[in-house]
Amino acid sequence: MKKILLETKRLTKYFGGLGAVKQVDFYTNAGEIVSLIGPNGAGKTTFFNLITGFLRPTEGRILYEGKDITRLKPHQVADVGMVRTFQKTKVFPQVSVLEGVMMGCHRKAHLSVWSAVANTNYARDLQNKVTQKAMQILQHIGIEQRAHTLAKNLPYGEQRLLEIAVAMGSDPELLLLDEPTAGMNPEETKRTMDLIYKIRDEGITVLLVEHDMNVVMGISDRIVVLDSGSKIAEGLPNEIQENEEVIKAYLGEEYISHVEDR
Amino acid sequence: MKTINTNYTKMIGYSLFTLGLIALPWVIDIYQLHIMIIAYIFVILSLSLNLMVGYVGQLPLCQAAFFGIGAYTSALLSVKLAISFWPCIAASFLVSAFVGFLIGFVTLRLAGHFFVLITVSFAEIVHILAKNLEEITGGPTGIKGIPAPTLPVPFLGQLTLDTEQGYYYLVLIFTALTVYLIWRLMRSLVGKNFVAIRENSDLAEAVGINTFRYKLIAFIISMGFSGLAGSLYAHYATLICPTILSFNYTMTPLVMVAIGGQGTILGPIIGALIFTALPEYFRLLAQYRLVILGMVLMVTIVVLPRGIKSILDKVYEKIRKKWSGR
Amino acid sequence: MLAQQIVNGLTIGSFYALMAIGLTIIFGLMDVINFAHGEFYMLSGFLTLLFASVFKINWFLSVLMAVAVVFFFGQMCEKLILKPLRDASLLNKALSMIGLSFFLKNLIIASVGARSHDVVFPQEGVRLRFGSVLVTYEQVWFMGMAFLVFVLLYVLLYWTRRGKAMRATFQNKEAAALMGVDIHKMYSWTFGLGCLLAAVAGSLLGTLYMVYPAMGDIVIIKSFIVAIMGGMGSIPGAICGGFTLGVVESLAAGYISSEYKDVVGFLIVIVLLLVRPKGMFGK
Repeated sequence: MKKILLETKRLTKYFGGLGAVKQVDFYTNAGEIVSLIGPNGAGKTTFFNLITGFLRPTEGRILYEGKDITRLKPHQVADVGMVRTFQKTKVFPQVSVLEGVMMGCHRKAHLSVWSAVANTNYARDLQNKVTQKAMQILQHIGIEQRAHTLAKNLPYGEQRLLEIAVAMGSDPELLLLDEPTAGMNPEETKRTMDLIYKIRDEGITVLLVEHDMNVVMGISDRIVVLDSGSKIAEGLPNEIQENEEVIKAYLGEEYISHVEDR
Repeated sequence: MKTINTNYTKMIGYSLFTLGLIALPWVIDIYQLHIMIIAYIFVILSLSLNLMVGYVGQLPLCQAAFFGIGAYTSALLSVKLAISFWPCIAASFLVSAFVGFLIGFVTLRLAGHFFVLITVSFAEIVHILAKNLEEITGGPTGIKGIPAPTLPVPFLGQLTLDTEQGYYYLVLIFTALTVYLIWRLMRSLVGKNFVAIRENSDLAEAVGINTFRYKLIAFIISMGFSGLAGSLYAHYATLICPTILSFNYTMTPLVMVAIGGQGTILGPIIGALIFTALPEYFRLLAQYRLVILGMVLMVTIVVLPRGIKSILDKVYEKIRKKWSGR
Repeated sequence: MLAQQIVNGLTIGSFYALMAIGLTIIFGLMDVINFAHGEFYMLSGFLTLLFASVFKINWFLSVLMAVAVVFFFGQMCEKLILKPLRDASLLNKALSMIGLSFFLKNLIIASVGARSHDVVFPQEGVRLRFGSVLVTYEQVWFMGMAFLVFVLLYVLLYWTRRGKAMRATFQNKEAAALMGVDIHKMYSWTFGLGCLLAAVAGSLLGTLYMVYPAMGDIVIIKSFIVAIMGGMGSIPGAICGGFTLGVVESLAAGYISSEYKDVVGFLIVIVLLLVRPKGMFGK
């Protein structure tokens, strides 16, 4: 029984005369792991920015669970249940890992200024709950030993895991990961893949942008391919692998596998 | 690892400190008390500015305007309408907070640099208005005869706080209140949201933090307390004029925050105390006071961006390690 | 009357343009708002005063020397203050410049005093009449000089190697660095150039009006307003914006009130930022 979670209709974004995303129809089913792939400059990150409210589309609509979310601001998109990570690592550098994840928990832990200042029981209670929840997430992901380290002092691989931890704090229904394994060695990549499986098993839908084809083919239930802003193919991994359009789009381009990239 | 010893030490330390503050008027002379009163007012200004600069990460260059709005509100209400001090200071806070809301609502949507520019422009406009709207603000000569606060005391009648000693306690209480409220705020989940915005505004948005709303809240609180400080100043100085709207009063808290330590509670307090007390010891250089202020700001940002508090922290760490090493 | 106001407006507008270009190129390349912009302007005014009125050096030479001194001083400030802060937050960069501005202004006040001074321009007071419009000799000369600077700037940026390197860096730092451009040098030169433009405006306007320590206060705001009007980082924008602001202000002073002339600029920028933050030619 497939329920469509995220859907875009004719989603388009032009920067001046440059079409970064053109008339893309897209959907994810609840519970799927979907990968969005395409050569560099295909428009994948622009697409992410559009659906999460960081960019206004030139044309088209974005729907979540049937509701139109096209004009929502990023925090409202998160409120609806869609939370993202970023291509260039984004954490909260000068606070501890634990505090960073606590910040990520804001969506389900709103506190009014009055309660905060008056230090009501509710405020104290909420803070304890958030701290516990953040700790649990860290344990889940496997970086709890770093709880009190400043985020900027983490090694790269753990920073990327932290990103996912922070996003998980908001109890997302649809998690958007922008190149989660970029710059990782095989060991780190596998760890991340396992984490994604774990996340999906908890009922969270995952949408990835990825360049590492091993990851994409191994992990995806479905794949959508963009090239120069347009969707050129979508389907199951083996279908995509044999799709002529896709091969043509990547032809002549080095297989960007971060497995070799260290 | 907190032992009973460290807790006791802390408690004793805090108690002594508080007693010291309370006993101060008996220990120092009138002039030094005057300095302390001014210092406390700047502590309030610095702490509230720090909410924006050190925590949320935005630079409002309009504090003087709100300091002035608070001062004039309190002055006008008490002089022209003979309203007692306590509603006046409350009104100062509320009016400043409200104007802060209006300005913030409109300008915090814009990127950082623009916010800086609009706040500077706003401050200039307010300054120009204060000098020119003679019927309301008294023009360049300002408002005088601002009454001292009075306090009804059971059995003893009215207590008028028109001496340095009396006013010291008044300002001490308000300062302590400000410190407490801001400390509470920053320890709470709301405070964490502020920091999240400073650390990575995009990420904060992406996980559901309404960055505009929290920036606005910080700005309202920040400017509200600036207005409160203005009221305290007005009833102490008993006369105010448009010079309190000059850029000096925006600049000074900024330097105090930068020197003391952005993004901490203790930092701005240290900065404010140092920067009010120190100039008194260097009377010879009084002429160059502002020059030194500018120089210190530059040097601090380049050499010691985390302020004096960072040095104190390091010293504290060293002492702590030595103690537990034993 | 209208024509007079417009001519006055264009005159002052040419200076607004100069100042704004200075600010906008620094912002465009270094992402720094040079809050000390007005102080470099003021310094040049005082140096011109020093050379011309105290040392009795020829006015034109004085201006040249003053501008040169400020140029090198600007480069020095960039090296000592901004270079160490390359990786600092935008906030800290802004704070350092605010500190510099405060330092310079109060240094002048403390050492020289806060009064206004007159700088003598050879052949001042002569007026020319074009129909119903009166212009002083000074105005003509200065507007001419402003235009000369525009032309020189163009030559620098489009005909010299260094200028082309600057433009390349302006458009794309990483690419320029990859092509062997010394980015630190570019920063240094751009900042110096920005200060130089402010200095030219300062020397000229200081002579046209008066030289006093607070003369730079309004400059940063006006430059910022014009730079935003034209679009941050756009030189043509700064030029257009400068003339526009000059004329609008002049008309406001003539038809409304000269007290509130400055308020006009503030209002423009507030409206502009709300309606079209990118400005006329924004990046």
